[in-house]
Amino acid sequence: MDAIIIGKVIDNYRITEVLGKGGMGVVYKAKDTTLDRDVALKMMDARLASDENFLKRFQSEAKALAKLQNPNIVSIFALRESEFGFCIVMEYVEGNTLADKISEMGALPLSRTLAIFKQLLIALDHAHKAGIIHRDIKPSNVMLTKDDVVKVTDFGLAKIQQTSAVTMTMGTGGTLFYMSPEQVRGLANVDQRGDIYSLGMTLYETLTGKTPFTESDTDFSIRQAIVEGKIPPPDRLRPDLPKDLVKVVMKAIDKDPAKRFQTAAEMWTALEKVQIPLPVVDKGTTIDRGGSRSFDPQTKSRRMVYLAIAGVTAVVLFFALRLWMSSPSTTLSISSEPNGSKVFFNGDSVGMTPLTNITVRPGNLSLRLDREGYYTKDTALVLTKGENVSIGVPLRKIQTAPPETAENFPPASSTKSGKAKGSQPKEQSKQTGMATLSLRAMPTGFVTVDGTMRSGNTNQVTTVEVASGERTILFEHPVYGSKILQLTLTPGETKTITCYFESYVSIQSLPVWGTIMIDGKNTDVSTPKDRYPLGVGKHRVTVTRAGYETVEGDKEITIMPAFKENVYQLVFNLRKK
Amino acid sequence: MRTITYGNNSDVGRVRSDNQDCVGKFPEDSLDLSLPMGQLFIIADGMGGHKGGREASQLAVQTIQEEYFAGSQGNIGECLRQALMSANEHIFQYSVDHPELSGMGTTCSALVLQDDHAYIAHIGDSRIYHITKKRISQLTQDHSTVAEMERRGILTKEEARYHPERSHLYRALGTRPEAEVDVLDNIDLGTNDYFLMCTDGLSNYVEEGEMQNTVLSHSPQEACEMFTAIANERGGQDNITVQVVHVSGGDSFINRIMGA
Repeated sequence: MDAIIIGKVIDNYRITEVLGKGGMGVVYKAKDTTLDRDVALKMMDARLASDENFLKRFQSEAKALAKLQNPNIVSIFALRESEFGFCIVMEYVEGNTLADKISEMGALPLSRTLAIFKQLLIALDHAHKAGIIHRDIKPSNVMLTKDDVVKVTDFGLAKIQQTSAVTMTMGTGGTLFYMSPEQVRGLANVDQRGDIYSLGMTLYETLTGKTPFTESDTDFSIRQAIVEGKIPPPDRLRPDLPKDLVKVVMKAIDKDPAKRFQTAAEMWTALEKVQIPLPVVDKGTTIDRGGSRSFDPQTKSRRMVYLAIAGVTAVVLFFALRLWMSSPSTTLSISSEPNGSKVFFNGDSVGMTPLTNITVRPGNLSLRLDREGYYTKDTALVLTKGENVSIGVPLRKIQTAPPETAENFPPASSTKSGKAKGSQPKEQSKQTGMATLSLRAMPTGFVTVDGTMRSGNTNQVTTVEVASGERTILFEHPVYGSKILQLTLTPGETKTITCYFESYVSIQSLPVWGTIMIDGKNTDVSTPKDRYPLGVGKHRVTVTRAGYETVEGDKEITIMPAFKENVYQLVFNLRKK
Repeated sequence: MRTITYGNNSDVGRVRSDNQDCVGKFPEDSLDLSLPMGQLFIIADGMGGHKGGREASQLAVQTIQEEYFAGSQGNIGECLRQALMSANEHIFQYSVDHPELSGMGTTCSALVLQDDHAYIAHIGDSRIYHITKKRISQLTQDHSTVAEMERRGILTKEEARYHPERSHLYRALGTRPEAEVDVLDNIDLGTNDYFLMCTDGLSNYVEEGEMQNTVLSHSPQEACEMFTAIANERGGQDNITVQVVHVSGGDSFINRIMGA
């Protein structure tokens, strides 16, 4: 099967090589021929792919996962069904897994470990905030690029796999080592603290080069140790570990979720506080590996430079210092309003604002500021040699109720008096000869009344008070065009008008489900689908499924802007080719 | 003189689209307990996708009856064990020859009744119960990860019951080149014994007390049909297969020793 599929094309993906075998099936490298980029295709095991319930679940879950966008998380691009089965199209990451690194090097150097785990925690923090639990954090699910940028893969797939109705005898493999007690016990409420535990175990192994279990342990004795046993602290295996760091590990792997770090951000802060002792020779560091990176003044923090220096011989130290001191360094100081925001350079965490005089490599730098409760700020800087740059970044607070409409488009003078809109009794409007309009464009659009714009490009309801009499209302969608309504308002009248620039189609296929195609494009949505939104215009709708064709072919449907919500029903009959 | 009556029933359930269980009784044309190899009853619950699961359970039943009756020498329990081991090799080889079915496997519980004794060979999480008027006892041990964790006290009974991985097996036929089969030899028969064999499609829904009552108050075939109906009524999440054997007459154990 592996060999046969190489060179084959699935939609616009040409399969080029086998990357490996995962729990759900084989992973291939492929070329996206339309976008000319490499992708990874995770092909599902034929046994799983023949389980209809599993596929349903898989599709809905994968859709949630596709929404996870973070520089430290492997992105999911699409889902495809082909003659070879179902596959997930994902970001292709050039590099190794953390598991590869550990088996190659044993314990990793402290500084490097901390840099990796801070990124891991940022990825987890992001996913947890989006309500997604990984459930299978382990070294083999942590990809590292050659610059040590972390990319966490297989988010949420463990859950999907578990829902498979296929009774399997296959062992849990290496995953067992990292399983939290609550997972082993099969408790229903495994939350983000389960991921914290698995991450703690992964950190344990990265720091010591070993898991706390031995070869003579059986599946069941490992399960027993996880639920009831005592895990020896990692400094038992590596005595030079800073006590603070040992504490972080042991807190993360506490059997009681309530005693662990409660969030990834909390653990990140604890790691941030860990002091790495300078004079200690970092055992895992080798000159050719840690060294080449650390000599370069681009290194994220000076502390790392110092560390690597501590680890190498005097000769190298001399060269390193010369190199470091002779290069005209560019420094950057960053503050934010408010401070306390996490700072990322090119996706790597470098600390929290305020940061002063950080040495950076001249050139392009993508800067991200991330603070809870504020909008993430992404910006790019171009830094020239020897420059000392200082920047202050204002952060915008996330509002729970978006006041934007009112702020950006202050209603005309007539409504200024309407400040107390809600509390003012209607009689007043009657006396003043005013009428109230509640206007809304769906899914979004501008609203203009008598030539005055009343609402920006939004789907929020805009309530305006206007003089009674004849009024012209214009609803305008940035893509789908506009619709005009003329109406006569009597004093005191309240009118609610919604203009729909899209309608909904409910699509079914019989007797089996298929994937919905709209205007020749795969939507990754499967039938039956209730209320799929279609914008204004002519659309061709059909359903595909490998080995099947629709009796009806395509169906054409024309959507016009309307003042009521329209729902169309489409039914396709699939027959075997 | 002991006589037997039996019944069986296999149902797809209400959720699955096909039945991957398999049930059999051999030799098909005899109820004679005094035959040297006795009467063989088998139940198997296949797994590993639609095709793989069905083939695995059918291969198991087919191979075991062929191998068991071909053995005909030595101890019945040992012949049963050998028959299950052959089935294991057979299924494993089949999955090697058909890579699209890799991972196929099956549970298997086999019961032989011969003269005054019962013999059991078992792997997986299907079950065999021994039922008398006084008691019901499960003769087999579930080889599921969750059941083993419960036996070791890692899980409470309640946790085991709702564990999401409760259908995960650590021992099965056909998934590895070697299989470890449990064998129970020379179980003494009384004058009125019932054996209930079933897949987890039934045991997940019906408690032991209800099994006992149903078996004691109906003919074997009626009981089997009632069991599948009950499991379906309560969800029918899995295939449901059940086989009931009633052995009556003959001398009790005490009389046999006293008379000897």
